[in-house]
Amino acid sequence: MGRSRTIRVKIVGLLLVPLVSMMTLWGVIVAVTAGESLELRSYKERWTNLRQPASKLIGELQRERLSSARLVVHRHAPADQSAAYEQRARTDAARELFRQLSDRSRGSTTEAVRRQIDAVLTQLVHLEAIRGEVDAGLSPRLPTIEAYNAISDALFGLQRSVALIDDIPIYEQSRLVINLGYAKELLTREQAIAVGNPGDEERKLFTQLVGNRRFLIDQALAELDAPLREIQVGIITTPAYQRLRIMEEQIIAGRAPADWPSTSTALANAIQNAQNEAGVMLTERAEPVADAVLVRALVLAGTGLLVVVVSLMISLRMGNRLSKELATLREAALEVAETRLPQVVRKLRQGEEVEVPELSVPGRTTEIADVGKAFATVQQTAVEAAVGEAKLRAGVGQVFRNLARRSQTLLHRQRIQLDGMQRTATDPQALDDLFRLDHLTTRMRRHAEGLIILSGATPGRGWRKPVPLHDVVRGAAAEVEDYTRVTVSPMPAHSLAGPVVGDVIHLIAELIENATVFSPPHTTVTVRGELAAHGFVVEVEDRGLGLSEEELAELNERLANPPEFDLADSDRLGLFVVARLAARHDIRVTLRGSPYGGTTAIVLIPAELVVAPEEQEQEPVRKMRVVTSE
Amino acid sequence: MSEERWLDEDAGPIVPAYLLTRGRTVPASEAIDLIAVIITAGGLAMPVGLGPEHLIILQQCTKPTRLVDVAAELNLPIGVVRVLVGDLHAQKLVEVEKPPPAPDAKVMLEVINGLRAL
Repeated sequence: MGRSRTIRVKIVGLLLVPLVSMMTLWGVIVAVTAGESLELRSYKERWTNLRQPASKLIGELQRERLSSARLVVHRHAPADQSAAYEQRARTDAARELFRQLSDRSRGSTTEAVRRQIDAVLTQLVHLEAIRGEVDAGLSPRLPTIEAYNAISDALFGLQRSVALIDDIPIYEQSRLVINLGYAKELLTREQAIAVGNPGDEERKLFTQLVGNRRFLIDQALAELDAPLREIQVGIITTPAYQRLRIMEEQIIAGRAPADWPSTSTALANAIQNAQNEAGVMLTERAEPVADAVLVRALVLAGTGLLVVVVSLMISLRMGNRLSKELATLREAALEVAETRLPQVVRKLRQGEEVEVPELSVPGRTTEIADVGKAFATVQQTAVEAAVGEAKLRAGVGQVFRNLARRSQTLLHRQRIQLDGMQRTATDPQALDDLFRLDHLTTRMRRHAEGLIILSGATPGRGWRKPVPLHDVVRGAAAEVEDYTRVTVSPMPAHSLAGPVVGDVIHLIAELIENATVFSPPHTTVTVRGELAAHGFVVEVEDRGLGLSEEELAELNERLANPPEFDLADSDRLGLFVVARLAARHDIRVTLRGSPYGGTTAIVLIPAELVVAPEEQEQEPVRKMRVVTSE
Repeated sequence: MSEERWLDEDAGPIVPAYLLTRGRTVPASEAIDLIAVIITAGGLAMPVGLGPEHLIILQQCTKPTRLVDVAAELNLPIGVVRVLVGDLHAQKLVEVEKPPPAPDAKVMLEVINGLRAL
């Protein structure tokens, strides 16, 4: 069974899905941008942790390669040997530094860079083997140099991959600077090959290296931007560089210039310095780029967040407004159903005028406004229907009343006529017939009056002066079919206020009628009247079968709180009339079991309706004016 | 039809005549003549089982009164008063004095003739 949830919860649920996806999207965008920016920021870190140790290691390897070449070529001259060992120690230090720093940067680098680092470390392992072979004198010059070259190449590969940056101009320049670094590498290889007296094989390789080196420098010079080229131009325009070129030509030609080692070493150092300078310059350039990316990332994240927040607020506000409108609509509908319509129906039943204010449901949503209008129409229609029904009821009541009044007028005249005839009758038989006619007429009049009372009006008969209660009770008894079974006991000489006489006669007549109907024909119905603290009590007691406690309780409830007159339930008409008349004059009617086994109806007439005998002026009570009809 | 209202006396007697006698039209004792004279025999105490009208008759008849006069005073049909007096008579609360019997025709004729002879 589905639990019913409020519309608010459903709206929130509806909004939750797009909002969550929006937040996720925003998160992804921020993560990507921030990652990019952080990568740029780590350019500097990579510079210190990878490139610098790598280039230092490259420099040391270049020197060791030269010293090893010398060791191999000069057949382990003591001077060379000590120089080589010293160089090896420096190389080891640089290697150790590289190992440490590269290990530290491992976490913040890409997969490609990590692969390059691994390749370098693998190559570095070979270093010990190379040295061993050199010391043992097993390896000739060229393979030794080649072995070193392999390590250098791996390091350059690392340099290139580290130079990868999300800024194309910087990357290009960076590559060119690395190429220049490689040009220096080639120069140091030239040095290593040119140690001693290079043979044909060596010269051939030397020539190749010279070509490559020059090509790299030319290419770099063509593509470097002004500040970076400035540094390189500062080197190649020096006389030392011109001399180097000439010496290279001489070596290719088979002559070994004496100052080649010193010139080439000085130049290599100069190039190295230029490299460092260029590297610093590039790092400085990368920083603002990284900052720009970071700013961009922040702006993007901020804007995204703003958009998310704004859409969240708009969604919540719209959802709120919608649920508020629906709540208003709900309240209005409930008010119509639970308060207004029942009130209207109740008022109409009581015969009051109704004025129903127009139902207005403020709704800025078309559908809600439409539903509100529909409810207003429903209310209008329901009220109109109720008013129509009330009018119809009133109309029917009017018809009944008119008919009953006509009957009552005619019956009144008939009674006067009968009274006159009774006075002139001398024959007991004739008088008996007249009595029967009179009784019938009286009963017919009672029914006509009952109809008038039901329709809410007052019957035509009326009294202004107080009437003795004994007469009131006997008058009531006379209206009952079986009046001969009714015994009216003598009662105090108190009178009943005139205006209520008609209604009290009717009320007691109904009770006596009930008593005679619900008791066996041979029993009597006794009516007694007594004074009580709160007024005057009339008891109507029958000797019938009586009623159960439940029935008595139910009837008393109906008498105390007369229900709305139900046209369908005319069997209880007598009881309804009693209740209505009692309520009209604040008279209390209670039923209870009688000691004789039947039922006693107790009518308590309030004291203000009872007049004591001494209060009323002495006047002959029975003075009947005979009105001859027509 | 205009609404008619009948107030107090115009409304007619509250207690109809037939109720006073419980529908009886024949007196409990022997027929009582219109000109019979009624005299209260017992006290003026409220007769048991009888109504206020009976008491009025008792009060009125402390001095001998004819039935017609009682009826006129009570403003009730003669037939009804006759039954009521009958009730009282049956309980021996009143005495009914029969009017002197009407002289027979022979006496009457003699009287007429005597008058003529004057």
